[in-house]
Amino acid sequence: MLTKLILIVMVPRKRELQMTDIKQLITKFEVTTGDIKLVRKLGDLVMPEIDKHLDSFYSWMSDHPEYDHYFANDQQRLQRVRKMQIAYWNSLFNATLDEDWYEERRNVGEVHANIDLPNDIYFAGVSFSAQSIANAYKNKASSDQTHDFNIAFHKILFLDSFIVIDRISEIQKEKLNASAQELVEMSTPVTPIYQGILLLPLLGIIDSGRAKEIMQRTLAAISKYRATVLLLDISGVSVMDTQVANQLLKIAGATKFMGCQTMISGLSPEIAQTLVELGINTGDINTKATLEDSFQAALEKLNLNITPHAL
Amino acid sequence: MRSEKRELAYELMQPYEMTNFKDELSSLQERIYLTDIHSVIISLEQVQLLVVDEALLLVKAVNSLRIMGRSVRLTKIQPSIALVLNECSDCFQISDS
Repeated sequence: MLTKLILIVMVPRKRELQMTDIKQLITKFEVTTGDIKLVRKLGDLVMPEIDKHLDSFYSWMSDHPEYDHYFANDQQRLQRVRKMQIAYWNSLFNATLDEDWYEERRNVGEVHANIDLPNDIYFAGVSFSAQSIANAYKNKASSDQTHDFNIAFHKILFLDSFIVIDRISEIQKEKLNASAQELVEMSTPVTPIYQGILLLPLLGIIDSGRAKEIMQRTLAAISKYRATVLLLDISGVSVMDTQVANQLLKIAGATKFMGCQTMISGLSPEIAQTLVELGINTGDINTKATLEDSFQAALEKLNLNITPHAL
Repeated sequence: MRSEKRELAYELMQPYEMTNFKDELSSLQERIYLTDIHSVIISLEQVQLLVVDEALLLVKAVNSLRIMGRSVRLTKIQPSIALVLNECSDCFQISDS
């Protein structure tokens, strides 16, 4: 019941927001009702000859390597894309700048992003088609009318292409964020190495964003594995600024509240000096020279000892 | 399991210039970091005079080494030097000379 209620509330809000976005875009690109009327009129001139324009488009595209890449030996795909292009131009000249049109353009962007269509060939293709269409109506309209057609047509074409590119850019950002998230997950390998002992070896550069991530993951792992000792080895950390050094000490402090003692090893002279210069109280934090020392101390804390097998 | 902990006995010379003194302490820390030295005994037998800035540098170097997980002891400290060091840090531990 609750889920249904939430859906009822959420859906109109999303659509409302989208329509506002569309209106703002139309205003930003200065598309007027006059432009829309002109583009529709232009459609009446262009659409009957759209096949001719598409023939010349594919002839132009066959000179580019992308043609072979996407259509080589695949006539079915070529025909499918061609049909979609007819629908695209039909929709552009119909100029009904509503949510459906907006979603269609975003879908085009999604398809382009998924097939990794380079932006240069997309824009070059739009530019070629615009020229081809403009040349065609130049011969059919008066010079004043051609000028007005040009302005209206290009406004809508730019708006249209922007939505496509904007969606491509959104998807690229999403992919980048997902990769960054995966990298963060891989770069915080909190591992239980023995009952009650967690190991966190850190490598590379630590910035404040990563330090926060380390804090969250470490605390979650302590809770999950009921750890009483955390071995934090930072000998592989190349760069650490003062804020991050402070953040690491905070991790040690926070783990203490969870009943887990942190032992930090591998502190370089530079990091140690930074902590001293900052006047940070490290008295409560257990630092060890090496990971081996930390591990030994952890075993002692847990009243454990490793003895070699009797021969 | 436990490896033998190496100890370093270091003789600190009378500082004559701040930059050199700073470099000397930095290279000592670097040397300790790069080796498996776990314990350092710094003798101040040769140090007759220590100005406050130099004493501060020494205190910071010792604290850095302790943060690096090393045990540090200062030995053979002259009374006048002990006074200066005491001025620099309330919690600074001075071992028996």
